[in-house]
Amino acid sequence: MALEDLVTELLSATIRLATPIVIAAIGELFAERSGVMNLGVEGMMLLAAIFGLIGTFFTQNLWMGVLLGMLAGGLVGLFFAYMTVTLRVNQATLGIALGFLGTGLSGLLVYGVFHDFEVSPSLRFGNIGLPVLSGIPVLGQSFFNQNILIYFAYVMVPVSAFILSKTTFGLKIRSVGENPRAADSVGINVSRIRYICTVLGGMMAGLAGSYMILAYVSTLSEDIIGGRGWMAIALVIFGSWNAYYIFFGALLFGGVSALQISLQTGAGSYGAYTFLYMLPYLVSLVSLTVVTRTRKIRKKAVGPEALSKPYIREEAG
Amino acid sequence: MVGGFIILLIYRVAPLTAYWALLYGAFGRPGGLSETLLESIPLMLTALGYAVAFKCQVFNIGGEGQIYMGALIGTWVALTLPPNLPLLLPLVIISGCLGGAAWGAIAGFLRAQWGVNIIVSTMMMNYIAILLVNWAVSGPMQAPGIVYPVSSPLPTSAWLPTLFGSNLDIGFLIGLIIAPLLYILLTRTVVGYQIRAMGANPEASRYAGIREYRNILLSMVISAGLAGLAGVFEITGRDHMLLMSFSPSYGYTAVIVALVGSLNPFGVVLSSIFFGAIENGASIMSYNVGIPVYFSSLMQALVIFFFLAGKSDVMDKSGIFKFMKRYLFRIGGAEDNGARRPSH
Repeated sequence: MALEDLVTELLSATIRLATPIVIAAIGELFAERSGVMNLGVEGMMLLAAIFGLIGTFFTQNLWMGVLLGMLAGGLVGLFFAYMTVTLRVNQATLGIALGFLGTGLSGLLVYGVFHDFEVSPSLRFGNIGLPVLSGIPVLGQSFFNQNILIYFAYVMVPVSAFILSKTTFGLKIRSVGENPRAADSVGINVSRIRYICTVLGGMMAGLAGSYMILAYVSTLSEDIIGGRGWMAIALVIFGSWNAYYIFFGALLFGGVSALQISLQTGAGSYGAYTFLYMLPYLVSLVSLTVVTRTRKIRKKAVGPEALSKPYIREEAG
Repeated sequence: MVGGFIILLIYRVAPLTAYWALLYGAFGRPGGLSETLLESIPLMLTALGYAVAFKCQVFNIGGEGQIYMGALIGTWVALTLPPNLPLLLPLVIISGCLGGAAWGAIAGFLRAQWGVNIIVSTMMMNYIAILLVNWAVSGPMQAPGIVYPVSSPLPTSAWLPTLFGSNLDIGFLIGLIIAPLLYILLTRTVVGYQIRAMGANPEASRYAGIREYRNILLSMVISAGLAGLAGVFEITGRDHMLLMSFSPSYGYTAVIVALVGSLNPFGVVLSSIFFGAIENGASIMSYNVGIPVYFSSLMQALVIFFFLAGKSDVMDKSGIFKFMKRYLFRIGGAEDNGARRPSH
């Protein structure tokens, strides 16, 4: 196989693998920028994958599946927001509980009710080659001959960056995340912003979950998300809460996974296999460590100031 | 915990027969009780570990991985050392405990030294640990001549003794002994005080001179060690060999167990039995009533959500919850929910 083709394949796979993480991470970015650390992403993604499958299965329409998945994610996000913003439950604990129980509950649905549900391979998001751009050698084929959800992700990154840094809404979000009391004193409705961002985060996680089932694989399994939700959370930190960095970070993670898959076919015994499987998680861990450490050394804050802290209006000062 | 349970019962729509089957499976049928308690052992040990860590605001959710590592190291020791070695079993147990502790210490170090988010790091370590065990039982530790990914069975000298000729191994007793020990540790020692202080108010503790670094590491080591213990107990007490995926998410369920037990060692013991009952009963329920086993996950989910909601500050205002809080949550004494209003 020509080197060119190999690289193209690799890049193409990288994009396909990175996309769900990017989507979920961007959603999480919004939530975290507003001060809400949603750790239930993994569970949300799984639930969304299931509902995405259900939606598509019953309507034979891919977009209905996506919609249902996003709805599922959004609803869970709403629940999280309610528990966290209104009831002021500890965000970390709730996130963990939600994450695992999303997984457990999904197990219930997968094996109990919906086992053997499968979307026929023909009903998947097919690749759409963009007219001029896909003509570019290597890069063109890999970046611009993908399915529409991936293109959506491409668009979402700069759009999110723009929203967060250049719009009034983004400013509100950021101020709520850094100093909710100050934001409140200027009249910004802290709760509402946090609700919106958390639900948005949930919807994105939902989209990512739907992607997994509708564009990535077509059989539902317990493992379908495989830790990607957690990687998305790590990615937000790794990307220093910046949409563009997150995108590149995702490419890194995706690249590692893509590499792992291509190496796997060459590896001998099962033994070597397993270590390759570990790569994505190891890379996540290492990159997370490096970034956190670098930020600490440079004395930059690791994240929005008010991250994970519930905002209590009545409390003085 | 009790309050959450009651709310749960009120809101459930499940038919009575299903519940009866659950209870029957958990307690009624012969061997039911021991199965329930057997299920509760890994939950109890791991959750006790979590209780220590969470009390320090070190959100170690790496229990699952620590369980696997404990099992891995323990099995390796059990299979490597000569079977007739005196004190083989204690050695195996200790090595398993240390194995888990070491695994957790890695994440603890990352947190203490560089501030790496412990939740994500322990989560990643989980995946890695599970894969490590998979590798081990499919490769170097695989039983010779067997196709399945299992290790050779452990020599009987490395089996955990059982109680009263039932299936229940002494792991349960050990858990019951550890709980009050932890309680004493947390409430009556300087270390325990520091851990709790750090959990309640990290900045104030730092200002008061409490050494954050050491305490984070310590709580991780204790927490992970207990999980490792759970892992090695599972192998020496139940399966007697190392298998792939031997843990049905004990490490994750244990998080819920710890939270529902309000991070109090005694509460955790009760909570672990409760959840053990759910797990056990659910599988029986699936035989009798046809509800899938994962129903237990659903129940667990509901318990935790109502429990968390019940503990929230805001709900104080509403009358019923005030009542419940006053009378029913006294058992807990949870300090994991962040700041409490001074007027309480």
